Amino acid sequence: MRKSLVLSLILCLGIAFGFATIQKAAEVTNKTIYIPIIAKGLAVSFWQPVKSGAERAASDLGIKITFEGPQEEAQTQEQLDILNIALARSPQAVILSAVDSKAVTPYLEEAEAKGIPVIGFDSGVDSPIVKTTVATDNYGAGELAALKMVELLDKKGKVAIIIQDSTSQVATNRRDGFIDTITQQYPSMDVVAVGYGAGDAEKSSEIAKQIFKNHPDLKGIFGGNQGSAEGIVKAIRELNKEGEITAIGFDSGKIIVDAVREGILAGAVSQNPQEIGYQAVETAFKAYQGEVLPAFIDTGYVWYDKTNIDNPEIKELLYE
Amino acid sequence: MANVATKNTVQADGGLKKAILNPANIQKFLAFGALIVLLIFFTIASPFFLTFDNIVSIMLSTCVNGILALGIIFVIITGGIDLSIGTVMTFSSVMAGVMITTMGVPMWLGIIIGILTGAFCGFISGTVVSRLKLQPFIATLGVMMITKGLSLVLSGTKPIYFSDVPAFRQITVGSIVKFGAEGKYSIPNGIFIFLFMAVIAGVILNKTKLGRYNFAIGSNEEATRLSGVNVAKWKTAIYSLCGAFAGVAGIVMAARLDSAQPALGQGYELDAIASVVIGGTSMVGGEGTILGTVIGAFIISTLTNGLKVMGVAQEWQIVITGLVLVLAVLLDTLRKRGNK
Repeated sequence: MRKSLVLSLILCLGIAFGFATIQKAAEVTNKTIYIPIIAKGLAVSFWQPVKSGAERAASDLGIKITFEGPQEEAQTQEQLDILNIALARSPQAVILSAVDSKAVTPYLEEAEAKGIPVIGFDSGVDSPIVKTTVATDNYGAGELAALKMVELLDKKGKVAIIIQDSTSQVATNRRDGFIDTITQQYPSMDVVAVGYGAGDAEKSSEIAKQIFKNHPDLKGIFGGNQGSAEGIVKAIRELNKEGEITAIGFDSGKIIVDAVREGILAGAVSQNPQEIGYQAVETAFKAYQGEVLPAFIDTGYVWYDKTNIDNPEIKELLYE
Repeated sequence: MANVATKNTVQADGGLKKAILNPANIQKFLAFGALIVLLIFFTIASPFFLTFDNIVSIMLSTCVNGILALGIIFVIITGGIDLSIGTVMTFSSVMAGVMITTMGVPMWLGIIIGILTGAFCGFISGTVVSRLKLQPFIATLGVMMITKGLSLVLSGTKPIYFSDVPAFRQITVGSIVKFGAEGKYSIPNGIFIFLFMAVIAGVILNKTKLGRYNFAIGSNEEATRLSGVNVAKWKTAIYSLCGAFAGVAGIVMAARLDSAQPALGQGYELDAIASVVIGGTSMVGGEGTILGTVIGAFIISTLTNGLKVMGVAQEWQIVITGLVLVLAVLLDTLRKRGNK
């Protein structure tokens, strides 16, 4: 019996070892440079292009990376364990999008003490130890959505916005970019409602329906993240408001891409998730080499609608 | 199954030869052997595995899951299950968080209230299972959802930070055992809390009436009842004990994260059950050892840690952990068949 347990264990570990060596064999140069990327909430499809961007950068630079993170946004302890283990491997740099910036602080201090640079990416880490953050300029992305809304509505009418929450920096920057642009630059327009839908399509669609009911003269609405925009699409479909309301979405995913093609959404602002992954790795490599880095690196955002959705440079950014 | 209880009594009486031949002990040695094999394997596979930092990292990630496993083994020995321990753990930490930060009660009192909250949740599960005769699976699934919701309500869905109470954090990440120059090597307190809880669990299971009745109920509940034991009362006590352990896990977890995280917790029950099963305890009930459970908890965290240190892709880490679990249960079944 003991023999069979040991044998089975060896078999399992043999498989593990096999995968590890396959991964090792794929590397070319700079073999000794290892940079772990630690994300959060990997269950969301947004991370797949981020990961493939990071892998592309790693093979261009010839370094070794790992891309890990808890499946759900809330799994703080899992992320701490992953970070802890990553630091035990003495990496040359760490790329992190923290679930909870306060909880990771002691590990960031440990990294600083060991001389390991920490790079924030996506929603980043709220800490002075972080060398730089590679992410979308969310204020600018909100601004772009506002300018497109102004153009589509010919500078007049009431508009609304639904976004994930009023606490995260990502959401507030995007919201403020949108609202500031409209209220400060276009006095003939007004933002009459701001809804918070937790990034959940179901919840956001309820909020959208309520806004449509309270403001029958509403001309336009902006969904500030994937879930918010999906909720708006749902509400418009269910209330047969197609053509009455000018709706703008954010990011992509099948529902949003289909809605843009059908004209339910006039268009959407997309981040560049591949570029977030690519530049995060590139930046971490620069940090390891001791280059001076700016405090923030914008990975860009673009407008897409029916007319340019099939252009190759847009198609590259969209995910299912 | 009825004779298992007597076997364990024999073990408690200390008949050395019989203790070694006891199947539960063979399984225990198997688990221990497997842990050694894992440690040796990972040490050879990766130069980063056997470092002081990494061993501490394994220990830290063991303690929360380990304490949960020490609680749930009592319920599993009765032949029941408690799916609520993960969220009860969270609820206890949120309760302690609210008490200490917003209500301003002293830290020690907040901790006690947190642990009692866990025990109370266990008491509710135990009462529903033993007196209202609901299946443990359903009853504790209900408690799981209730406590998950209550944590979110109580905290307003936001983490509660203990920043104003710096001592709280020291419970898990602080260190009273340091060695080397200027305390270069320090072992976090969390691991000692885990080992201390293991000793308590061992004493309760092997030296007290509750432990003896626990085995008896798991072996043959009807016979235990007929011999005059108030099964409902002892079962309720066992579930409450499990809840109290979840409460302790909640404090250790909150101290590690320096915050009570209301959205966390679901899924922890499964890791705890896996630790118990890998440690050689049968889900049928009537048998189980604390040492096995401790080793089971270490096997899970060593495996997770080692695969990460080796740089195995995350998806495959999950697959391999699953394989080990299935193998452990399979061996357990084979061993039982062999005994008959």
